[in-house]
Amino acid sequence: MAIIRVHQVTKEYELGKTKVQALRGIDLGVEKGEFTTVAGASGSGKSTLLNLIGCLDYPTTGEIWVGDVKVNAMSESQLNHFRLEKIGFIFQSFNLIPVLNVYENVELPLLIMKHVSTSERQKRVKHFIEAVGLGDYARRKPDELSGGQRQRVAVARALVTQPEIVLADEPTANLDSKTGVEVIDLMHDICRKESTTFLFSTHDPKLVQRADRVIRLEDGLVNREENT
Amino acid sequence: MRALSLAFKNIRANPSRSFALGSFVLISSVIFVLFNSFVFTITGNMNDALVNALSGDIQIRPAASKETDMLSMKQGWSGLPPFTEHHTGAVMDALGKEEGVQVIKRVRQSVLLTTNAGQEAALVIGLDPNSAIYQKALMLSEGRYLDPGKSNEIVISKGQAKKLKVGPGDTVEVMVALEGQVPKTRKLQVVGIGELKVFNMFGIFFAYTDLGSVQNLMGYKADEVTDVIAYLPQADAATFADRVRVSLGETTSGPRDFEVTTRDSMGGFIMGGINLYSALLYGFIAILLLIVGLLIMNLVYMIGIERRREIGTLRALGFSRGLIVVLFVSEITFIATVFSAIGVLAGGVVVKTLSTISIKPAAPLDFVMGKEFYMQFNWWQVLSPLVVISVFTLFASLLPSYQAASLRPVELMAEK
Repeated sequence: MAIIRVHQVTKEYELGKTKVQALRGIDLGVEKGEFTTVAGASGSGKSTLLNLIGCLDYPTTGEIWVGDVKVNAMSESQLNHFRLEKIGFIFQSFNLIPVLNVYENVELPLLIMKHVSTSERQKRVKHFIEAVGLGDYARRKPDELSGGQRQRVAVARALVTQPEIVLADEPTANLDSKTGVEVIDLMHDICRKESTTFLFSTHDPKLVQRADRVIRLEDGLVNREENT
Repeated sequence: MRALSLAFKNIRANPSRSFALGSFVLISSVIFVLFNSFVFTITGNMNDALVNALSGDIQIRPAASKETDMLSMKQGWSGLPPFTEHHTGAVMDALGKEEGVQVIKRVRQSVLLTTNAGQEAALVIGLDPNSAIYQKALMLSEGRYLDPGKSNEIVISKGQAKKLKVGPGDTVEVMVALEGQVPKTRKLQVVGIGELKVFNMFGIFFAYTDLGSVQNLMGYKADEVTDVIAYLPQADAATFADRVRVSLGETTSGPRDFEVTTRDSMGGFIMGGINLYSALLYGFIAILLLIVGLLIMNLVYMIGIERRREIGTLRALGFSRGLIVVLFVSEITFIATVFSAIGVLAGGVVVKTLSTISIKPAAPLDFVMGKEFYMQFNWWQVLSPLVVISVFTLFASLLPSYQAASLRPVELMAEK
């Protein structure tokens, strides 16, 4: 069974007095452990779709299932907990906390996971900082790192909670192409090693090719799906 | 708990903002401490003056008299009903059971003071001149206090002396006109002229004389007095009054002979005046707090806007709205508490220093503060602003923090 199932999802926004239909009835599924990309032009609905799957927003109609949980029916507090336990996020602008160093940024979500002990927390943080190749940068603040290094920190932070899925919204948009490829390869590598499901959006054809499967969006609809 | 470290790291990462807020809180705390101590001193002085000059800690008088009799100038023309000798004896017996209590028998009567220059109404208080407590409330500007070995002496207020054109050594005629009776008069020699501390502003026209003189004027016997007041060493006045009521057999229902009241319940319009002054001064503090609160709310709103993306990130990671509110409130309250503590300390040092210095306020401040003013140092008055400002800051930062944390993550993350 697919770990992510999206069924007839629509999303309407109000932009002033105008209604914008960002998604028009999406159906898709992502299997556990897949490294999948959502590709499409700007405005095609990629970010909206990832926000809905990531429980950052509610769909206007339709159903979204993550594992065996129908997330669009959950309350806000349930979603907080669900995001913490099940979903990792990687953002286009890295979204690291500027006053925290690399170690503390990666550690941040674990601080509110009550079932993770201090020793387990330290072990996991060290493991994932090493995994993204930033072992020597643990005490540095985000403004002391390059863009690629910052995104690696974000990858480590997304993985440290050992989520079932990691969602990355245009994770390479603020990086040069070489660094972008490195970050995608890093994510792919971790996807294999940790058996974590990755779903990322991009409009860069070079990066699209590195995914196992491509879901192409156009005007809020799935245009086609293809295996690479 | 570790998550709270984010709040403290934000404080350190934004030193200029933390310092700006802190400085405002610090200055407000200093002003708060000074004002609080000032109000405490003023009200304390007023209460002391009221107790020393007029009321004692408790007062016992005939049940037929009214609460306002102590100060009223209006109804005395028909005469306050005095205790019989038997009742006075009972009161003295009841008070005699208590240790360390100073008891003063008095006759109070509204009178007219007359000289060739004119007539002035006054509340004359006849008491034992050996009881020096009235001297604490009375600041002499000329002459002396009543001589315990002499009778037919009177101390009057400065205003009366001026209007009656008398000074120490002159004689005034004291007249009392009771309803249905021929007016009675008695000549008394003015020995002192002074002012009741703090009470000048209430326009109380007092005159002190010895008990015997006013009893003679009224035609009372030796132990017929209008009231007995008592000064307590330390005891709580209300508890003491209850014990006296029990001793006087005033606890059962039925006709009562005695009215036992504490200073709080008989202060009448004077206490109202004291409360009004306190309210005005505390009103200033309330305005100060309101300004502090608005500034803090505004600042937290600004922080909420500044950290929109950070809040969105935290929400996306799974931080609850409540936890984000706690982070914000902790950050602001910590800054406010630290700087308020410094302000309170600084204010405390100023108050402590002022408590050793005699301040001689010029008119019209002397009406409120007295001729000589010592700021009173009290730990609670100094420390209470720290608690008030910290709690106030906490509440002031709650609403904007809640609003900042209540946006949906997707709205917070949107590019602005």
